[in-house]
Amino acid sequence: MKKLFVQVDLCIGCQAHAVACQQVRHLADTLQSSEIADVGTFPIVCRHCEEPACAAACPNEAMVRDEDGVVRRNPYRCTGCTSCVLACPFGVLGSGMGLALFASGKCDLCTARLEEGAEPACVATCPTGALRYEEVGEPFTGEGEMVLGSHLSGYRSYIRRR
Amino acid sequence: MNEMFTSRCLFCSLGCPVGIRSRFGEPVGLHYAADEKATGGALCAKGNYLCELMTHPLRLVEPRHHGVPVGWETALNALSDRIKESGPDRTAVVLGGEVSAEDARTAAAFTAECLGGALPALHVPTGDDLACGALAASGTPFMNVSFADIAAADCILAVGDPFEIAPVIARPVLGAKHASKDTSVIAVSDDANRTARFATRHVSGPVRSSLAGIMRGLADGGKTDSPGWMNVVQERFPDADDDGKAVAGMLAAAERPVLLLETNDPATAGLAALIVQCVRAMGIHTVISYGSLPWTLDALGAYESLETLAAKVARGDIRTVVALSSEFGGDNLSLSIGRQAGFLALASPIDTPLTGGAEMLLPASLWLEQAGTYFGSRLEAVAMSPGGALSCGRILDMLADTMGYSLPDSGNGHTNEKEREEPAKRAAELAPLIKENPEQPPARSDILRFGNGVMTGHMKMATYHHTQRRRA
Repeated sequence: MKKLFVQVDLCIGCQAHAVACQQVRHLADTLQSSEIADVGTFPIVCRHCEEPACAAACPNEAMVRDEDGVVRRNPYRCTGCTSCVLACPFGVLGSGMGLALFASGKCDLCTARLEEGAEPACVATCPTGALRYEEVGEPFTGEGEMVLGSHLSGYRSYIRRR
Repeated sequence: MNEMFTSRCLFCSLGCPVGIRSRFGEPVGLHYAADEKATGGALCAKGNYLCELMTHPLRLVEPRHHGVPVGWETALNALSDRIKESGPDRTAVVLGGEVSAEDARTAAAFTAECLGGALPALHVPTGDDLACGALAASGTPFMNVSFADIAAADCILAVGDPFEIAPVIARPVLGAKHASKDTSVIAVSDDANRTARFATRHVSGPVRSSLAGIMRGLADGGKTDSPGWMNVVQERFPDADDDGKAVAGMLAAAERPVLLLETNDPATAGLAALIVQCVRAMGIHTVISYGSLPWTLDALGAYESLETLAAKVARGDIRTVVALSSEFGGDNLSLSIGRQAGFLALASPIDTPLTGGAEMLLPASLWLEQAGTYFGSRLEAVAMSPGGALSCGRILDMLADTMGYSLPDSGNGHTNEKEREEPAKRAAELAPLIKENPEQPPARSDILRFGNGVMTGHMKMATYHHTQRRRA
């Protein structure tokens, strides 16, 4: 199963991923960005957790993890209560844009693009290739690279050189 | 029926390939060309806005005279009458930096034939034309390395902040950096910027001084044989600092050095050009905000600076201004010209801050909507212009026809025998600039910064109005 990874050493903080997400899905806040002093700015991506906190918090079962491992929002069940936004431990659910049609923004790995054989828009547009769509497990076995991040989601989504 | 067309982004000198999906001639989305070897289909934040820009609700689609929609014939007749009334010698044409080579030649021909031998003025708020002029004056190419060359470099000297203006260039630079531990990425900038954060060495401080120090280091190391200009450097910068010596040594030892130049300061560009001439086998890639500008300048031949035009307008020597620039009014200088001119005819693809004040609005096409020569090669249109929008060259052709003139074929070019303000003349001020004012380069316009939320004039408005619509 593939998920999003971020090669921190390649991220220049250009925000192209946010614009691409907005253009493709009109959800610029689906991809948050975080800045660490003296290190840089890089995207905080949805982990599509194995045990998604957003789904557990949703009172109306609008957040569901499908058989492909993608956590999706059902817009017809979402009431815009933002419980998912508050519950997400990684802060990836959009809140800055406000509510649209009583629904919160949610990354679905650009399902439509995946069905066409393309990568998610954020990955496709990344100028440096920092955003990657790879198989979970040990995607980077290159010498001198290490994975970072929390085990909370079931996989570590950040890569950097030693 | 959906179709996919490929063009190039014009928002910086990289000219990244971009695919546009269109349906019945109308753009419906972007396509990232993953099979593109150089960029891998990547697009920066600016490039991602292309589709939205083409379909923006603020696109101008019909001529307007004093706010009233009119047809092209009525508009051009009115403009022709205004030019005759105020006098062709009191009329100026202002060209934006994003026009095709053909449109640039047409503008030069128009002003020569129809305005009594005048020169068009050039509106490049970022000042990139000054840097281009300095490079041209020194005989240094604007660009002579490819992405592959940059990725294979063993020493990259980055002046300014190339990653800020052209993020996709970070791909080959970081690829080179991570390919070998021996690869050096040397950033020369005033402060810690986006590019400097990824450098293996950062030379911080006034850029002119830093470059002069590097040249002094090259001269001390016996790597130059041009004593003429070195006298200026040695007089002003008698001591090469440690940074200059170290960087000079790295450049001299490199087998595949590359210079990435990002500046709007002609002195900085001139100094960088001299470094390129001194260092063996050094390639150069100049990062500018208007992708096809060097080719536009070459086609234009000569032009008047906006500062000169502003002075003429202020004195009342120019009473009618025909501005063909998508960003006219987005900076203080063009804004003042527009407000002081007795009559402003503004041709733009999109609403600008001057739209409300312009006596005449003419809808202009984007480069994606018209065939033309950009980056030295022909790009075909990938979408239809909305409404009645036309290219700047076509607008001038029709205006000339309305005025009773016939312009020569823009493909043949046009020359003007009248003495004119050459870009090289301004670049020739290099030595006095180094002598008199080495520590104070001109402030760069922040119009084309991005990542911090500030983008080009039209994209700023596209973003702003998009946000406003969402809030509404």
